[in-house]
Amino acid sequence: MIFTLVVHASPVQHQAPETALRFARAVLEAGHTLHRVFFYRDGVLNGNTLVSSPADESNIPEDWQALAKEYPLDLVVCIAAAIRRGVLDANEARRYDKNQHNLAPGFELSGLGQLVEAAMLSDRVITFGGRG
Amino acid sequence: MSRSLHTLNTPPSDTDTLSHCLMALSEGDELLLIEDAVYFTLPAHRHKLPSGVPIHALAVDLQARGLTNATDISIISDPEFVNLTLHCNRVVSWF
Repeated sequence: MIFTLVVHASPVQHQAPETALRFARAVLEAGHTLHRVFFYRDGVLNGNTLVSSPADESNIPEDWQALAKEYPLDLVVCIAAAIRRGVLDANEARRYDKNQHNLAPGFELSGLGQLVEAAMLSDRVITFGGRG
Repeated sequence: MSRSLHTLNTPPSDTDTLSHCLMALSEGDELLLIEDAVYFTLPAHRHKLPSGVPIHALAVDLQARGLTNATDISIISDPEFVNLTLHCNRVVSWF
């Protein structure tokens, strides 16, 4: 079966991204297809490579990258939500005249069309959210 | 039959999210408690959940909160969570 996950919550404010990570791993280990993980709203902060955790705590952006090394993953960060929150790739940094960029390797910025396409192609779309 | 799996991740103190979830629950649907919603398994809150629908709770979230006495609730693993989403026709997330 084909799954798409949608992550709406910040990795430092909510447990939802951690649940999504565990669910993604369970999907892949069961032999299903994970078509895409789409990061929206504060979920775009999962793609911030500058997130730094104390040594004895997990680092969710790094955990996504580690999973993407084990399995081919399409980690898509909503571009409109990301630039507002200061998550930029090299292209957007140039476009907005910033001298730094911080989108983590393994993630890409793209539009909501990627969520629509994923919803059409997937058997299940599961949202992991948190408010505020 | 069209059957929805509802996931709820908010604690019992968030009465709004619970009431929206309960309004949407139909006969034949199933409810999965995740994250802070596993506190609904406590005796003080268990009666706030409907009796007519199957109720599940994620084992790791119960364990992380020291909740080991959940009765009449099916306790499921992450792989079983995946299977449950396939057993139902769609998933609705309440957060």
